[in-house]
Order: sequence, then structure tokens, then C-alpha cells
Amino acid sequence: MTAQVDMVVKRRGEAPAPPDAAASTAVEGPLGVQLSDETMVVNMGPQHPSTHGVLRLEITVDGEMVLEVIPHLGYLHTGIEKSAEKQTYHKAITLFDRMDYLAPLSNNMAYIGAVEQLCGITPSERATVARVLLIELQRIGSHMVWLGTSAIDLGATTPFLWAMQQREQILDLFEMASGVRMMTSYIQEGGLAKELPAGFEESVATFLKQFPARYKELRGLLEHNPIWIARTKGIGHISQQDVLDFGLTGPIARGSGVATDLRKSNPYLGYETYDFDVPVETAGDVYARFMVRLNEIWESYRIADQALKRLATASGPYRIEHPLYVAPIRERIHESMEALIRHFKFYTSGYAPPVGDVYYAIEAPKGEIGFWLVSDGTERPHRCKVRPPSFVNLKIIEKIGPGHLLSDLVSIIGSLDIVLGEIDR
Amino acid sequence: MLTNVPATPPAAWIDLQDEQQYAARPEIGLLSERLGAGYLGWTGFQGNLIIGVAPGSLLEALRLLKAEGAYDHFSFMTCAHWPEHPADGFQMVYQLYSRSLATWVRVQTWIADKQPNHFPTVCGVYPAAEWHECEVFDLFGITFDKHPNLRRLLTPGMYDEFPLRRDFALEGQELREFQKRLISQYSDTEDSMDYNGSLADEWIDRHTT
Repeated sequence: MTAQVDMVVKRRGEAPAPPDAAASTAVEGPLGVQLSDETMVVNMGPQHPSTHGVLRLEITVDGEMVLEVIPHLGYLHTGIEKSAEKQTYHKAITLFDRMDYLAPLSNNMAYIGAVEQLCGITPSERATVARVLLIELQRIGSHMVWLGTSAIDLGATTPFLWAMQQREQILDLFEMASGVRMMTSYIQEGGLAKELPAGFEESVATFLKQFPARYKELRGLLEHNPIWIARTKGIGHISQQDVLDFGLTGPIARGSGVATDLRKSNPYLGYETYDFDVPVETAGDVYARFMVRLNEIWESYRIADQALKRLATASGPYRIEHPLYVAPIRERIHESMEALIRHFKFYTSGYAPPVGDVYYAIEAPKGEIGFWLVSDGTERPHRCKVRPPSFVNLKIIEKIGPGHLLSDLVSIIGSLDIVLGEIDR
Repeated sequence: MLTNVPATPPAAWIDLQDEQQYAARPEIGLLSERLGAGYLGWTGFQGNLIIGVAPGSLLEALRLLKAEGAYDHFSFMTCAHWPEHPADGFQMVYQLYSRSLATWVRVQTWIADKQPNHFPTVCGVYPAAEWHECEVFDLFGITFDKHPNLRRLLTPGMYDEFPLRRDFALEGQELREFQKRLISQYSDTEDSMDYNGSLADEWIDRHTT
């Protein structure tokens, strides 16, 4: 038994507390919290439905009151960054789909953006517009999962069903375009993996046509719901200073009055030409973050609507031609020997970008996702660092968790909108 | 253009192609004036501004950029391992963003690859660096001095390898030896999976050949 306790202590990297018979009722806990007979340490997770994956929170509670929260990560660590170093730049695309599995196209876009910046290539107008359309649909899909799951955590079942129904339609659109529902790998060097199929624009139009009414219903379920407000208002307050100290990004920062959005401040994919607003709330609590995401869904709908209208007239191929960094279009193989050679070279040995390192970041549904790619002039990245928004945003729970009831912690985790695949990588 | 594997950090890195675009950036003037010999130069690559500083001047550089350069957002810090050049084997990078200027800057320094590796923490300037430094400690084995809570984040606490170092094996004979070492390491502890020697060998043969 003693050996086991020692092992637990050793794993946490701390020295075991010395046994002291006289002071057996008061023991110093990890962060200076006085443990007495009244407090106990409980594990929330890794198998817990409201931790949205395999997150383990080591919580010190006094009755129902949370005194301390220590997140333990790593249950999903699969070494994606290490694997990327062993793949060619093209083959690594599929790895990053699996990080934030609720928004794979946003991950795709960030990685491909970094590769394109490294290689110095620019996709055509048509591919750019299609990318905007896809990642905004992806943002709606990701926020729908957040809305449904954070509501069901607090006992509201209906929003989950309605939100999933909307997300399912978005996944159907992705399946139509790429053949895959979730891990599409559809955004690739120089454009898209393949042409958008016939009838795709009509299907998106059908989805967007029914969306406003469904969105209004969904919003009406929670926005003025007294139970929802009681569970979210004044809970998990994040101040502006916390946002700066912890490096928070995305809806969490915007819920605390820090109006930061890379789509507006450092536009990529021509976002400066779209008409949309950045929703900001100042309260900084769970309800404020809920409102920010809810309004963001509507702004994404507006962008998607504009992008769809542009797609009809946007010019250019779905993927540009480039002798080195872009896979030749499949049909060209049958008529061009050069294309056949390049196709073979591209998918076997890969391509070698110029020596240098770039950081490319976009505004994903969860915040700033960026890739730091280091090229040493070979076909494989020397280092591929992901800056995952969930990883950075999760740390704030150490600060805002204590002082709440255990049940409110569920509400806070929901409002942080974390994905463990991205945190652990 | 900056090559990523300098034998010693060069005095100045200048990408002539985009010189105009970068030379006007105020961060360059700020750091070159205030750091003195600690400022090593800058480079621009595809829109990225990278400023090189000496390891001893890193904290001062970040403090200046935060207080006077309006760099209020700490995006991430990490490092890259270059084992071919042990004298400057770790490229430490700190990516900062200014919300008011809407610009990025990457501060970079090189430290020697020796065991054990020690480097000062920047949590005092940017508290957001805490978990990033834990991750670098976890995956590269660099110990950050005076870090508030340095622990292994992603790998188990008893694990003593550093997977993102370039010499960490993923395939071939190196992997075989690595797994043998790993199994013997876990077999010594009380909660081992009770591998006996022959079973372990069999398992390794099946998975590595």
C-alpha cells in the first residue's frame, strides 16, 4: 500500500509529505491548500462525460465547494508533431485532421497556409473562396457541437439534438465535396484536393436557406431560459487581465471584452473583403462566452452566404499548377508525361521547400491555431510545432475553477470548448 | 537568408529581397539600441520577422517588447533540436503578437545541447509561457530554472525519454534497442506489466522486424 502511495506521489513529481502524528488533521496540499478532515481530493475524469474527452481534473473539494483544480493531460498524446517530422509535407496533412476533430478543415487550412507561405505559392481565387466557404461551415459545425454538448452537460437535451441535426447536414456537405465526413484532408497545397462536385453549390444553398429559422429556434431555447441563465451568469469569470496573462484567444478572449480576431486584424484568404462583425461581450462569464459563440454562428452564416454567391463567379482552377509544390491535376496524367513524372515524384519523395521557418496562424473556432514549420531544405519538416488554442485556453481553469460548486465546474469546462485531441496531440 | 543551421549564430541576418519591408519595423530599432551586444540581428522570411538575441539577453528582450513594443500577446514558445551542432543545438523561439499593432515578431536564441540543459524561464515576463515550457521540458528535456511548476504534461511522470529530440528513434535497430531499454526500465518498478525476458524479446521481434 505504501509503495502505491509513493508511486502516485512520484508520478506527480513531488516529495511525499512526511508523516506527522501530531498534525494529522492538517496537511499541506500541492498548491498550499490546507487539507483537513473536511476536504478531499477527487478525480474528475479521464472517463467523465462532461470533460469532453479524456481530461483528468484533480480537484480538492470541501463538500461541494471546489478549492483547487489541477488538470492532467496526455491521455491522448500520440506524438503528432514527432510523426510529422517523419512524413513528407504532403503526407503530414492527414495527421492534423485528427487534432481538433470537431474542426478538421480549420486545422487543414492552418497547416496548408504555413506550407504555402514556406513555399511561396498562392491558390487561385476560386480555391480561396471555396476555402472560406468550407471553414466557415466548419465553424458553424464546431460551434454546434459545443452548443449541444455544453447544454446537455447542464441537463438540456433538446439543443443537443437540434444542433447535431444541423451539424449532420454540414458533414453531409463535406462528404459530398471530399468523400469523407470528418477527416477530409480536403484543403491541399495550391488549392483543393479535387473539384467541388456538381450540385454542391445547390446543396449549400439549400442548407443555408433553412438555417436562419433553425438557428432562431435553437437560440430561443437557451438565450432567455431562466434555468440556463441561473447556471451560466456570473459563473467562471475571466477578467481582461487574465486574457493577457494566460494568452487566451478566440471566443473566450472576446467574451471578456478583448476584441481580437485574426480574420479582422491580420486578414488571410481575403477576409477583409467580406462583410461581417466580431461579436464581443464584456461580462467574461460563461453566459458571455455562450453569447459570443452564438453570435459567431450567425456571422459565419453571413460569410458563408457571401462566399457561396462569389463561388459562382470566382475564376481559376481548383488547384494551381506548379512544377514543384503542387500535385498535378489527376486528369493531366493521362495526356502529359511530365505530369505523370511530377505526380509520381510528388507522392513518393515529396518536395523540398526553401530553407527557413514560418509561423502561420488563423482564427479557428476555438481561437488562434498556428503552425511553426522549420524547413531544413529536405522533403520532411525539421520541426512542426502546433500552437493549439485549446491547450492554451484550458490552463485558465486552474484560476477560475476554485470557488465554484463542483456542478458549476461542468458549466465552465463546457464554456471553454476544449478538444483533447488538440491539447494532447 | 537565414540558414537554420549556423555553426555559430551570425552577427546579422538580412534577407536582402524584402529588406525595405522589414527594416522599418520599430522592434528592430528598439532591441538593437537597448540590448547592445545581446542583439544579434534580424531576418525576414515570407513575412515573418525573426530577431536573434543572445541567450543572456532574452529576458530583457521580451521585457522590452512587452513594455515598450506593445507586444501583449504571448502566442507560444518552443524549440527545435539540431543535434549535428551541439554548440548551439537548441533553437529557442518565442512568438509574440501585438494586438494594437497587429504584427507578429519571433524572438530567437540558440543554446548549447548538453546534458542537463538549463535555461531561464520567461514566466516572470509572460505568465502564459508556463505550460509551453512544461511541454518543452517534457518533450525536449530542457529544464527551466525558477519555473513555478515544472512537470511532465503530456507523457507519464515516470517516463524518462524526450520524444521530440531528433535522436529519439522511431524505426529500425535504434528502436529495437530503445524498446528493450524501456521494458527493462518498467520491469524494475512495482507496477510493471510483468514482462519476462523471453516474452519481451518475442514482442520486440514481432513489432520491429
